[in-house]
Order: sequence, then structure tokens, then C-alpha cells
Amino acid sequence: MIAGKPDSSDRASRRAEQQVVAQAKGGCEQAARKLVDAHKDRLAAFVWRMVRNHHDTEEICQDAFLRAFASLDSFSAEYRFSTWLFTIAYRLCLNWLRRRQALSGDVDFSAVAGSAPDAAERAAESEEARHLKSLIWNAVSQLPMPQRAAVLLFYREGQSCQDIAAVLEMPVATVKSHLHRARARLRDLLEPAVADDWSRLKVLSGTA
Amino acid sequence: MEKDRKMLTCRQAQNLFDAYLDHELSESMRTELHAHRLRCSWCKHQLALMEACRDVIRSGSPEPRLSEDFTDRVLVAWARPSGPRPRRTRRITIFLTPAARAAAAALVLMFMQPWEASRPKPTGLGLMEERSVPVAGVSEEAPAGQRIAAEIVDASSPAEYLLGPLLTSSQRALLRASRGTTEAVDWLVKRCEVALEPVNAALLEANHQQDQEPPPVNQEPTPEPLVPFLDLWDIIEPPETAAEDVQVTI
Repeated sequence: MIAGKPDSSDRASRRAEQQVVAQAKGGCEQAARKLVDAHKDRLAAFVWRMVRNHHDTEEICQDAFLRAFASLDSFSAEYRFSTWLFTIAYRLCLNWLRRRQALSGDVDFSAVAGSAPDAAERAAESEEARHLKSLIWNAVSQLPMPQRAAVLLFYREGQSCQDIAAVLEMPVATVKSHLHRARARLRDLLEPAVADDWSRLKVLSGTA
Repeated sequence: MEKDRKMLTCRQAQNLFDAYLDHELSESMRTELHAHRLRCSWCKHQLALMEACRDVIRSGSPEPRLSEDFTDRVLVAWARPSGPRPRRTRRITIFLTPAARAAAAALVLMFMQPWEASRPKPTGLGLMEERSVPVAGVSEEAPAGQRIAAEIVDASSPAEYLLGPLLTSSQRALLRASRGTTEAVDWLVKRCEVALEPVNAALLEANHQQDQEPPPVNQEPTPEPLVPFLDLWDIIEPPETAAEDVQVTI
């Protein structure tokens, strides 16, 4: 993704967001509600992919919003509110991971089941497509935390490397390195599984 | 005439994958890569795999949604003055010196005593057994509200001790209608807090008087450390001490 200059609609939305943030800073509940409603779903999706636990996702999201609201004075208009929010949430996820590791040694994300597709999604996709999705998300869940965060922010959130660098608090070059390693790791993880599936499918289609 | 550019090798092509996927390749290099992938099944497969990853991650997957009242909970918590992670209810915490603590204990016992005689003894609960006080009296003499409260409140909750004198017949009806529901639990918790407030006000006064008294000449200037007392959630759910929250600095 190319981090180009913000266009006019982007600038307008930034101005609108800054107004809402300023109102929230002044204690306006309606403005705070707007911010929560606008960002909660994306934040929850990101956090859930980090911690893979619904209860912890709720806790971390609530904590992230409250900490963001409590620190609005230090919020810089240079960034989007979402960047600020995701930065806080990412730190909370890292803290969560440290606590988990302290309590139970290593955390095996691959052992945590993903959410099951709903009925509408099952009807809209072939088994093959669903299987591919499942393989890919399982592979994503096995990435180390910074690589996973970089991949999710880049692809899922559509953030630029500059924005991701702000969220993960690392240089842009490091973000690119994480993305590169993440892709290589995904290839390594997926290649054998996909090759097995394809050979199995070939056998099945040949015998059909 | 310029010499033709050499075709990409697989290694060169793979070095371009990231830039290609990030849309950072120039038009000419994109075309070179397209040309390579059309004749190289290995690179074609690799790129297809990476594009599949990109598209699947971009389109997302059904992550669990936050609960319906998430926004309301955040806003309620935000409105509280007690910091980023407030308790579910307002804290009623008072710090007491030892003398005031003794007065507090006496007040609490006076408050609990009439009902104590009327309700059946809970079993298997160390906390409840510790707090129970043998008092003469019969259950018929206890207010009806206390008996209703004893029926509906989970015996594992010490909060039930505080409910008896507060129930009216209409409240009893409400509790019967909403027994087992969140509404009933919320209502009961609120009543518990209301019950604690006058007790804590008296304790505050006692504590204040204690502070006003000049210390004896030989006494150490600093008394033993103050302790929190009579917070409803500390009674119901003792505060966690094992797992400290990691400080997140912003």
C-alpha cells in the first residue's frame, strides 16, 4: 500500500474527527459515544486476533478506550484517533501476553480455535474456499505478535507502513522487515498444507 | 540499438514479491514480474499463495462481536472519576484507625443482629460462619422483608446481611417477579450500597473524632497503617492481590 498524501475527503474526515476528539476532551458524552461506535468493531477484530479470547478482548478494548479518553490531552492531531487507539490496544495486548506467559509459560495460539463461520457464510462459500480461509487464519495466528500485528494492520486495516510504525512504535524499516518475515513465514506454513490439499483434491477429482 | 533486458530469474522475481504485493513496483517492473510468473509455475504458485493471504486477511473472518452494551459500559466507566478501570459500582472506602475500626465493627454488628437470628445458618462458608453472632429471638419476629431477602439472595453472598431492614412489600413483589434476573441482582447490589452509606458516614465521623483527639505523650506519632473498610465489592469479591496490572504509560 502506498502512503500517499491525504486527499481532500481524507482531510475533511480528519478535521471532523479532530472536532469530535476536541468535544470528547471537553467531556461531551455524545462525542465520546461517536468515537467508541466508530472504532469499536475494528478494534475488537484486531484485539481478538491478538489474544483469541472473547472476554480478554472486551476487557482490553474497554481499557484501550478509557485510557485513550483519559489521555486525550496528549493526543496529537498529527495522527488519526484510530492510530492512537490501536497503539494503546497493542500495548495492552503485549501486557496481556506477558502476563499469560508469566502465568502459564508459553502461549500456544495454534491450540486456540477460531470462530466458526456463520450459516450465511457457509452457504456462500465452497468447502474448498472455507478450508483455504481456515488454513490462512491458522497460519496468521501462529505468527509472532509484532508480525501478526503488522500483517493485520496492513491488510485488514489498510494502514500504511508509516501508520503501522506509529502503532507498533518502531521504525518504518522494522515494520517492513516484520511484513517481509511474516509473508515468508506464512508461505512456509501454508506451502505444505496447500500442497497436500491440492494433491488430495487432484486424487478426489480424478476418481470422481 | 539498445541491448534487450534479460528476463528475470526466480530469485530476482521473488525479491520483488513484497514490493509487488505492496503496490510499490513501477509499471515496467510489474510487467517484468507478470512475464516471469506466466512462464514459471513455481513463482506463479508462490504469488498466488501470497495474494490469497492478502485477500483473505483483508476480507476478514467472523470475529466475535463486542457485547451490545459495550459502548454504554465504556461511557459509564469514563464518567466515573476513579480512573481508567473503575469497579462495577462506586467504591465506598474509608480508612480507619484501630479505635475507629472497633467502633465500626460494633455498628455493623448492631446493624446485622436482628436479622441474624431470623435466617437459617449458611453452611460451608467460612466467611459467613465467622460473621454469625448468636442472638436470642425467633424467626417470626423478623421483618417479612428479611425473610424474603433470605429466600431470594444467594446464600454465598454476604451482601444478604445488609438487605433485611430495607425491603418493603412492593420491593418484595419486584424481587419475586424478577428473581434470578440481572435486574434483581443490580437492584440488590444497589440496596446493599445504600445500606452501607449510613454505616460508613458514622464510621467517617468516628474516624474524624479519633483524628481530633491529641495522641498520648508516649505514643508513637504515626499509628499503624490505615486499612480500607466496608467496600461492598471488597466484601463480595475480595480484591485480587496476586496479579498486578502492568502499568501502561501513554
